[in-house]
Amino acid sequence: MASRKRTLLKVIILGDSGVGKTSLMNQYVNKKFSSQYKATIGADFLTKEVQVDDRLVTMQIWDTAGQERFQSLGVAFYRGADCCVLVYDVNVQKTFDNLDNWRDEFLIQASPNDPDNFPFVVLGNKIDVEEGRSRAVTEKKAKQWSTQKGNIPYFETSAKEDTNVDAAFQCIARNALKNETEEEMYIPDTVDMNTQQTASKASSCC
Amino acid sequence: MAAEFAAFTSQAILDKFQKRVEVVEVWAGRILAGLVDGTLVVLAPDQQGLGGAGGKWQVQQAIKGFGKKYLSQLQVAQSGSLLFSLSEEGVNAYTLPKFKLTCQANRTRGASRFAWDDERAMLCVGCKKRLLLFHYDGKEFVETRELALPEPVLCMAWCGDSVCLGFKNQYATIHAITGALTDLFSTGNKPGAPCMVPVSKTELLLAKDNVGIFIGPDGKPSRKVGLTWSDCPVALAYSRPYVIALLPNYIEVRSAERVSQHGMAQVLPVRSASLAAATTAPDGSAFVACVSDTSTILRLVPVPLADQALQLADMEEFREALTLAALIPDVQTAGRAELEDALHTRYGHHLFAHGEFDEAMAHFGMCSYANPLMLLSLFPSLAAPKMLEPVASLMTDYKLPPVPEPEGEAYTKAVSVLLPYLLSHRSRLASFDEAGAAPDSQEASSDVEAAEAGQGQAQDGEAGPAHARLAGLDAEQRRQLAVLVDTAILKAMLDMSDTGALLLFVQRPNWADLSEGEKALQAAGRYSELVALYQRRGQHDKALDLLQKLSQKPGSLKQAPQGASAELNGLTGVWAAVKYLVSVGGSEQDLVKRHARWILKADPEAGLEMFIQMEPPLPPATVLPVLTAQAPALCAPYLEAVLHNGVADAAEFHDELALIYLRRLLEDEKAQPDAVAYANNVAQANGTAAGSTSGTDSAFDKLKDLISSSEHLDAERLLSVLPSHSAPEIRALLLERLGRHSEALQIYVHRMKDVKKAEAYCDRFYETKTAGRSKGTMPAAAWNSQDDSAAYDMYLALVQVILEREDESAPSSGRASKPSSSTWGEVARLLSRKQDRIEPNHALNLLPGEVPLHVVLPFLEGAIRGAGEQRRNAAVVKSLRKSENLQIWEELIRCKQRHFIVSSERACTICHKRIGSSAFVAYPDGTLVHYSCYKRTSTGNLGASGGSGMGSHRRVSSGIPIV
Repeated sequence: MASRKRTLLKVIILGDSGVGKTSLMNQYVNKKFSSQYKATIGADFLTKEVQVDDRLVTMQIWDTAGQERFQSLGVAFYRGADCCVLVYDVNVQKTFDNLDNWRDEFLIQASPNDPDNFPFVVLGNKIDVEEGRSRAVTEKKAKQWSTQKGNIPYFETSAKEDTNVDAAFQCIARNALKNETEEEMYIPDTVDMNTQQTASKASSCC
Repeated sequence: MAAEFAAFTSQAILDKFQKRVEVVEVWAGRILAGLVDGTLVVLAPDQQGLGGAGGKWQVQQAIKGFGKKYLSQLQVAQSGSLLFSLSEEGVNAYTLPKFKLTCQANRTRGASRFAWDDERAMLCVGCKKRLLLFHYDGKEFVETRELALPEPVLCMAWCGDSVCLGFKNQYATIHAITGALTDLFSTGNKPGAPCMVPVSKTELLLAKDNVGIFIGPDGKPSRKVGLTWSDCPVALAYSRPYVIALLPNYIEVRSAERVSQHGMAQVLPVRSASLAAATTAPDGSAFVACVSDTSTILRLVPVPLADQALQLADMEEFREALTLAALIPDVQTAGRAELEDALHTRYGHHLFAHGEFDEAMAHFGMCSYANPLMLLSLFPSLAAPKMLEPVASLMTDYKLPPVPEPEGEAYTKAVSVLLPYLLSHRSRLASFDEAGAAPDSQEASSDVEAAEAGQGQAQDGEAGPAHARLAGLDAEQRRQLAVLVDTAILKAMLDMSDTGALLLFVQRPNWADLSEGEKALQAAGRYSELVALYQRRGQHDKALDLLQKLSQKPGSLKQAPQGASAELNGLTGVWAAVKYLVSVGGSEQDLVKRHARWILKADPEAGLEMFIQMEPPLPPATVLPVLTAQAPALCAPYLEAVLHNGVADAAEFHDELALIYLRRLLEDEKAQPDAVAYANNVAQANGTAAGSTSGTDSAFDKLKDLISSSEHLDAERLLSVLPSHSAPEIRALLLERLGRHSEALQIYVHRMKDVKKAEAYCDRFYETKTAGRSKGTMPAAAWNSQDDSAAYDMYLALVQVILEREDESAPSSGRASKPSSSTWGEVARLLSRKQDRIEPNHALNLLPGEVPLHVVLPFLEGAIRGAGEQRRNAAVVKSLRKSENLQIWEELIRCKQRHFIVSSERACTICHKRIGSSAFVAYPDGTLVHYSCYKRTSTGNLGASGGSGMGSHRRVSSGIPIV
């Protein structure tokens, strides 16, 4: 069977509990934000159609539980991911420190073919909190980390105020597609014999 | 393919018309047809409006000579009030509806083609080798520009700021402002006129032979994918999303938005050999004029998009169908959502049948009412179809063709794709129940409330209809669904390579069906997981039986243990059972008792560990009989441990422990006839060099420690159990506890021949007795106190015992009653060593008369020296006291000597009046006040007399003021 163009992108969101993974996803997909915190149980996904250049792709975003007691069986979710989004809360140092763990865990569990070039995207969320006065992680530090880990794109976001969310996910989609093998250019169909046959048949009966 | 796809239905609105129709244009529900002789024919449906599908069309009006000689092009401006036509005399503009000529474009006579752009109100006319640009100002055309062309234009269309031109062999674009001409590409090798159609304001479709290429305003291809027709088109029309190509013998309809390479086409037959023109009405209808010897105008009415989508779905062109569904305007959202759901479901099903599991699941996931049942129904081996029945209301309404469950490798792949979706459904169920549980706790909730909770959830951005469906189930059905999902997850994980995830899954709270899970896990030999499942369901007996089998006789299991359980044979299995029982805890006494047996037999240490670690702990009274029966040797370590961690009450179990030690001690003795000697040796070793390791863990030492440290022992009872001939030291210790000192001392001295121990015994006694009071008083004075006479009398008791021995032994040995000098020496040394603790007079009384003086000499010397020392001490104390007394007298005298001179100037420091001859008070620092003032200021304060009140008043603590 001819290799069809990839139209399904699987994206995994990882990060500590309470950094806003679900909120980011909801803001992006549903344009909704609720300040009420509800711990995610297990894992769930939302889908969104995304236009990347001239292609329409379906992005399936898997939101996972940050709390260990709700985490379920990462390997089942990580399998076949096209991009992994690491989220931390810029106001909580520990969530940033844990990015390393999340990244390692993902690479171990998902074991992608080319771990060094697997697309990650880092999001520093909640930049709206107290207008940034309560920040614990500077942008510089986060960027430094992202660069160190293989030039991971870094975005500062606020799911609450919808800052940078679209841009971040656009980048995520683009990066998820990056790993795809170069697709061949379109080659026009040759004459469709089938069509001609039906044409003659149709005209004879009419 | 069986069914033929139809995007349009065709209807002839003008048939067998004798004259040749050159051009058609739509105007306000009517058709303007330009004839070859220049006549303009207006066609209109019988009833007003284009709606009547079967409605007849009639010629409403015919204007002869509308165009001079011929009419080659007609275009109605978007406003509908302006018509442009091209005839021999050039481009004319008419107002509608009266067809009144308003103006003519100059110098356009003999023009071949024009293109009108509504937005800019620009008209572009190709006239021989010139291109003329006009601006229409509402009254007339104003020429703005003239550009030279290499050859006459055959067709043209606006695209953004440019005009795309079709020459005989070449396409080119020309920028309307700069006039820059850019060649694009050739019109192809086959003969035929160039042809093009605008797809949007900024995109054109150009035909090159039988291939259509989309270009943007810059002239570059705007899409990677073009269109391919089965022949070279004569004319093109566009009705979103379809391109209608008029081929020499038929009309071919293809989607411009096609996504798959084998894009669907509709072929509409036409009788005539040549086709002339096509145009599109705003409602999507296309009108095509076909010409042979007679003319026919066909109206192509678009089939509703939803119907088209379903047609495509029926032809398994789901992607095309979804693309079409996406074109349905948002106004009809409800219908569209339903349609899309159906398409996703069917597409998913189709993909699944073709082994495209990943995409299939993704499409199922995109359904607004996605639910696990859709997925489970595809996997009969994960969920038996009859188990789905109770929750069948979740099933889709679509009759989907049965798909055989994938097998072999494909099955494994499918299951691994399925798993995360099942887990996500699990999460959804859980969060639904959580949301539903909230109102539950506040007040009695009905299903309605649960549904509302579900709706609330939906607002949080979760899939609404899916929740609505879940809300449609009652709690019992939801539970059944959860059971289905979890059972399927369990089975799915069994079919995947073992990553430990399954074990983790069954260890956590889950709904997996016990009997189903049991069957599946047994068949796969995954006993560790089965044990965990049993444990989750409280089937501890089964779990432990299984562990026993795994550990003790793995051969008896039908299926060889796999995964984690493969390592459970032998001791690891025992320890697993221990861990299990420890986690179950002491609440299951019978269970523990039943299984402790084989565990203790297999590995006593493990058994011991189990009893010690168990939380909550099992009562020692229950454990001990088990241990006594199975592994008596473990009783002591067990009791030690539980006593240490406070599980066992010392008062209750010290006796027990002591008895156990005793029993062991006696056993040891029996085994070693010289045990007494041994015990003595050990005792001596302990007495001299502390911490000799060889003896520390022996029963003897433990018993000794216990007896000397425990407050709860019933010494009487132990004594009664202890045979008189064994373990003399233990006996002595017990006697000590009972206060039977002389008996104890007798044992030390006579049986054990260990005077040092006896002396230590006395020391111990003395120290405990005197410890309480030694703090305040001088140690030397201890024996002066009459109350404590018992303390030092112990030494005398010892002396007595030592002497008694002599008395006893004398007759038996037959020697003279004269005590041996060694005994005397011993006694004497003892007396002199402890002379500060012994009342010499008492001691002397005790000594029999025949004691040789030289033997007692050291003691007497010591006693006399001690008495002298005491006297001297007393003298020193006396002198010290005396000098102390003198010092205080001196102080007193000094204080009495204080005096104050009260002159006439001296004033009271309170009222600042003169003291005069009135009574006054003097403070220690020399200030004086009236007595009355002093009284006033110290009201209520002590102040009876001037003297004693001072201290508190002026922060002066000593000194006596004189009044």
